[in-house]
Amino acid sequence: MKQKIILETKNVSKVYDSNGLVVKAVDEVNLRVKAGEFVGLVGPSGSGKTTMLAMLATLLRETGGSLLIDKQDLGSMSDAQRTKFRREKIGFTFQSNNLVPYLTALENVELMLRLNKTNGRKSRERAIDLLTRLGLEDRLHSLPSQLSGGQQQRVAIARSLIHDPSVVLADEPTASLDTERANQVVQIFADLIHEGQRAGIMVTHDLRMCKYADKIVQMVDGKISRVITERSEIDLLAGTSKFDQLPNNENVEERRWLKKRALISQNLEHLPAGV
Amino acid sequence: MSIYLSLKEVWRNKGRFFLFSMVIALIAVLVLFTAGLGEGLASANKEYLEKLDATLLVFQEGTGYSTIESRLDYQKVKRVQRVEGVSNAGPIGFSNVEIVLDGGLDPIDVSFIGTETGKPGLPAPIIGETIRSKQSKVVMIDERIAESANISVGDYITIKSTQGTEDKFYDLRVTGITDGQQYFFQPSIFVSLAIWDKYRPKADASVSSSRPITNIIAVQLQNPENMASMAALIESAIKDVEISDIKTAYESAPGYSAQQNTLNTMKGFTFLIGVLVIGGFFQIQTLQKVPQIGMLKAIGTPNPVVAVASILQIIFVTVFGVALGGLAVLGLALGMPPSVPILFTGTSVLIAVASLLLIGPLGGLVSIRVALKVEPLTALGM
Ligand SMILES: Nc1ncnc2c1ncn2[C@@H]1O[C@H](COP(=O)(O)OP(=O)(O)OP(=O)(O)O)[C@@H](O)[C@H]1O
Ligand SMILES: [Mg+2]
Repeated sequence: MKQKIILETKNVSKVYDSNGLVVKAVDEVNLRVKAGEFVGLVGPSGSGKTTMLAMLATLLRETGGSLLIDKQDLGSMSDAQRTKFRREKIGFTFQSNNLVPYLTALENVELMLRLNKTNGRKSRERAIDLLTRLGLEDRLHSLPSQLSGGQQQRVAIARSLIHDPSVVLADEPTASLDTERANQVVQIFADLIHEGQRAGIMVTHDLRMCKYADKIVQMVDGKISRVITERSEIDLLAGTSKFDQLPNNENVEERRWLKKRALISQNLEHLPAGV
Repeated sequence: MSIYLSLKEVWRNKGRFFLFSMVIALIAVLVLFTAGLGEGLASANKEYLEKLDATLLVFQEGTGYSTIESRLDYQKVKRVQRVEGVSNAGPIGFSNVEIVLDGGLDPIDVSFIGTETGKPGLPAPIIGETIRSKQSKVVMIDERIAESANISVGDYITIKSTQGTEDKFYDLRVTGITDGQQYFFQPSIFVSLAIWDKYRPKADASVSSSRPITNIIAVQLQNPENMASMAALIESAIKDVEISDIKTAYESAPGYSAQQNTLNTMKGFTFLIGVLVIGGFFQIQTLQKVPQIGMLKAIGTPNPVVAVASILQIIFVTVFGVALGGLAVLGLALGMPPSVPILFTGTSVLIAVASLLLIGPLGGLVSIRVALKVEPLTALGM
């Protein structure tokens, strides 16, 4: 069965020019994500992953090329249209500060519905169902300060899905979680993307999280350097992280760096060019 | 949406916002008391003149509209009365006496005011009857005196008046009670001008009252709109007089303007402190919320919603604080003895309340600016 393409970028570029310092953060990237497809976006620090997500989330305007979501050209929209588009069509999980501190878990999820004026008794039930699926049925009325990091991220994931968005984006959602929690969160995230036939992109530095993705896109210096679609290769990538064996108190930065190096140096050839 | 967000935020941070409302409440108490004091002092100073049923007042020339310095020949009353356009004119004499009370009670200092029946200057009684005859030894008293000394219509009061070096005592029957009629910080009692001239304190007891005098003349006009031209007409028709309207007269009373200006400056500064305190507090609070505001915008909250939410909570807190302060002032005012010159009925108190309610939005302008300028990209740490 051929899935329809929900998200597409055509030679999209982003050049930052701050006081004469020109940085080409994203360089003519072509990317397609189909309905029900979950993409893992990896790459070294500064390779343009967050910039890419920001453009897809209509938070940042491209400086070249174009981005299409549900066949709508993001670049042609006014700021107000983009704000509206963002709250209707896009779900976002950030690395931190996802939740409104004075709203309960349930209220935070419902916030997305309120913004879209689709809140009500029926949608409240959906929000409760979703939070229950994420294992939070006992914490519906807890404030974010009363939740653990993992619980907070699960609330954020529920918030990013409740309004039935076409595209779900997440920037290192598991950065603050331990391995077990991270696995749980990403697995449910992947399931919900598959079930809802949404286009999902998750930026991660943790290669083990790639095993839940259907496609891995690696960026280096603003360009897509590698795309992995074969299941066996994805599993290999996700499983070859020998650094898992390092003791827990090992320097986190170093682990990240080692993992990145492992990815970059991985000898995976015969990949199709482009996407 | 803005209302929802700001109400939730205030509700879930009740303690902090309540504490802040208390600060506003205290500022409100300060401003309201200053305003009440201004109103009360002003009223104690001018109440009689302000309620006077006349448009113009005639003074002796060169006295700077001072009711005590001015001395007018009684003949001038008749001459003023005859000026074309004047509908009624009455003499008013001011001095001070003491009401002596039995049973070891302290005497009451009062303004002793002489007027004529049927002329402007004599207020209507709220209980009892007005003064009907020129020579009868009757008096109308301010309700404050009636209340504090427990005097009713039909009772006799004794006034003490110093004539030369001798204290004289005169008995007067109370025929009526008037509403509040303070003048120069004292409640007033009213007698006919003839009685007034006889009983008023004099430097020399032998001064004869064959040629009665008055301090000022109150003038009613056929057409009060012609105030200015009538003042000029009377001034040119009668020698040695100066004319003012009522407002100019009480504003010229010694110390009146200085006192009101001082109180207004105090009010102004308290108000300014309020704006700065609120502005500072909410600006810090908004700065702390920058990541959260960025996140809200990043998930598609329109800019106006965020801005309105940030001002709304300031308004809630201000309204609550001012209401709290207002209630506290009300409670305090009810428990205050009537001698304290504080009055919460005048326009200046209403203006104070209105301006207090402005403290919040004014102080919040900075916060709105901060909130509006937050970039949604901050949610991504960019
Ligand atoms: N606002 C900005 N102004 C100027 N340059 C920027 C800005 N944001 C990002 N950059 C630059 O653009 C490049 C890509 O940054 P980006 O944040 O997209 O990388 P990333 O892949 O998300 O990195 P990380 O893995 O560290 O999060 C970097 O060189 C960065 O320094
Ligand atoms: Mg990033």
